[in-house]
Amino acid sequence: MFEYLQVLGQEIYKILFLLIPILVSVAMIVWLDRRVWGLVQKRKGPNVVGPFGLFQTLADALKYIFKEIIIPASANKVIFILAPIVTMTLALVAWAVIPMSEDLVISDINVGILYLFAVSSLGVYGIIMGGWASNSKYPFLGAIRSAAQMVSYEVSIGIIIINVLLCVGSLNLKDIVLAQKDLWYVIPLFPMFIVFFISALAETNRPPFDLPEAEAELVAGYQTEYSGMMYAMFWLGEYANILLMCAMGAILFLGGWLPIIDIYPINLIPAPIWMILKILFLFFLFALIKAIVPRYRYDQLMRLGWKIFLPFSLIYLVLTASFLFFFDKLPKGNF
Amino acid sequence: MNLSRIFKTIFLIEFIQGLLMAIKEMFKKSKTINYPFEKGPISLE
Repeated sequence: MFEYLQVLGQEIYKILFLLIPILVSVAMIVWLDRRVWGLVQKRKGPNVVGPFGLFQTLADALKYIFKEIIIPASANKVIFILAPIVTMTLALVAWAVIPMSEDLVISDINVGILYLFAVSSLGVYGIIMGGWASNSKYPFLGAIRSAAQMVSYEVSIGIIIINVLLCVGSLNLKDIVLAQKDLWYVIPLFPMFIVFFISALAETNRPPFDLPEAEAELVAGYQTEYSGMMYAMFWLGEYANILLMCAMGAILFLGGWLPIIDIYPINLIPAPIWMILKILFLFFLFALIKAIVPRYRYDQLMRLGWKIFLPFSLIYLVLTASFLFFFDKLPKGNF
Repeated sequence: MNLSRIFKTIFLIEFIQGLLMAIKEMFKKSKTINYPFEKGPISLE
């Protein structure tokens, strides 16, 4: 019994050691997002609360905590309350398998990438539940849009992941990173990296694919009826998902925690810092793109997903497979 | 679609130009004033 409690305590300690930095970095990333957006538009962005305005998100979160939670009379109460919880939990749960360095990972499972893909696909349920349970027009339209959108882009993300897995020969995230020791996959699979990046934008409902929450036409989409802490949870979950997609991009294409070149002064920088730098770089691109692109029309979005990305990634998959087979470079290790 | 249009679409030429322009604009001075700390000519005292 005592041993059991000890193990439990250790696990909880490990989980807190991961979750608290993630929640803090989500807060910082919201600030970075708003700041980059402001700077591109020649505004200042949040710069009053704390140094450079870094604590702006914490102030916002505090404000949300003290606001009243309003539940519409016609809403389905259980699902309405469950939706933000589901969104946030699913966004955080996926971080369990993300390796920050060779041994800094909570659970090093052999089907890591499959788990990641499954959990990020489940994320759409939070949005559908929220939109449906609100029992109101705009949230419902937003939920329908996001369901169709996220399902379409998941297909091409899945095929892109298969592309990478063909080169690695393992579903373990650590193996995926270590297989890139000589060459990051962003170089041989560059077109796939671009397609992955754009699909990640669509998957996380970021501009130019923010149709589920389009302010101008759907008020705020699935979150229209939410207020107070419940809205804040949707919002945190969304940004945690964006960070997760950036981490996935860093692991699959940018060589995870590996340094740019493995020579003396550069490889002294510890592994987690490389990982964080790569995630930040990808997030910076996310933020820049939010500032410069107009929103897609819905039929354009669907056409891009089904008629361009899906065939393109399938063709590239065949090309990768034939290249690896022809030059006898297929990974042999684990079978 | 003519050939140059297709070329521009496939290689995301205009998108990358926009990205570079956004990065350039980021380092220019902002047009707004930092209101409660700086005052413009018609701000109240």
